[in-house]
Amino acid sequence: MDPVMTEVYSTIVPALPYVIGAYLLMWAILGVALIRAIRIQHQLQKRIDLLERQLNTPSKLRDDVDDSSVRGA
Amino acid sequence: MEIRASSALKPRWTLSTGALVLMATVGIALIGIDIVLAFTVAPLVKGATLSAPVTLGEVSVTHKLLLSQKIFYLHVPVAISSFVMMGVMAFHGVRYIQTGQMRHDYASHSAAYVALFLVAATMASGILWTRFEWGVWWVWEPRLTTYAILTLMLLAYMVLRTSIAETHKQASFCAVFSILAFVNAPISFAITRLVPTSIHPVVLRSNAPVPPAMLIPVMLGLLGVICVSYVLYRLVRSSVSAKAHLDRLALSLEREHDPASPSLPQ
Repeated sequence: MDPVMTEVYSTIVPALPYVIGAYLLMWAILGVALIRAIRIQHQLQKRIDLLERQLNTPSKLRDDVDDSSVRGA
Repeated sequence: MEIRASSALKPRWTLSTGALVLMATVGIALIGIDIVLAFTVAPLVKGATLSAPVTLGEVSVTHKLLLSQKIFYLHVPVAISSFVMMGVMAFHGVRYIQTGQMRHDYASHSAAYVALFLVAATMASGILWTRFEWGVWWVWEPRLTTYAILTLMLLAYMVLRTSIAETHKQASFCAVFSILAFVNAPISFAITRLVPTSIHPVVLRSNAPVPPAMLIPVMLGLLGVICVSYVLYRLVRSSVSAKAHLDRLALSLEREHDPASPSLPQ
């Protein structure tokens, strides 16, 4: 390659891994935030369903349901 | 009559789901357009002068071209969004102090959570740019230092939240701390303009307007990141308030079994 052209591109090719890495990292972090928020939503939905079952169970039977899973989720 | 524990929670989530999905899609699309424009329409910025000019196509090139600057097309929108989220956090902190309503504490907590992720994304991309352009992973210059302080304050906020058990005490302490943490945001934003020795690049400045080919992608990216941040904020806020509601319900169940158990948080 022409030495001047090599000089022009001398800052482009070495920068590529950093540019790609920066974009990937930003997407990854935002993705993790979104996935984590959705997972927490699902866990809460499970707790809600369990709690509803407990609330709708007659008190004699309710003792049999493990409420530790409700409080601990 | 059937009791529905989630009656207060489900409808709100269901009603807003469509709008949130649409907003997330629009946000991601805008970020995508920002990236495409950044690499196709926006010109490369000039670096050091070449030993001899060269003609590329019909354009005479006299400087080295800096690809690393392309990082800013997403780095800047994410950084500005982190300041916005910290503003939301502090606003709800102030509102909690004024009203004592827990919904403001939930909102402040949620905004802090989203801000933490945005700050992490800003730091990660910024550090990679610093490594390439300055040859080091970290420099104690004003912008980086104030932003690092801001990051540490957000982490401290999360630690503070988990270290206090009593609900209202936790909310009060966190409200005050959220305001203190936010004070650093405008300082961090303005520090490169106020301190002449700062070597951090200033992308948006009043005396040297950014060309539209560079400004439009940044603005689209900013709008996109704000949309995605808002969706995240709503998701987290919904979870935080639902979790608090569930904890109260679970505690009331526990009290029903054992009246000597701790009292309900108000």
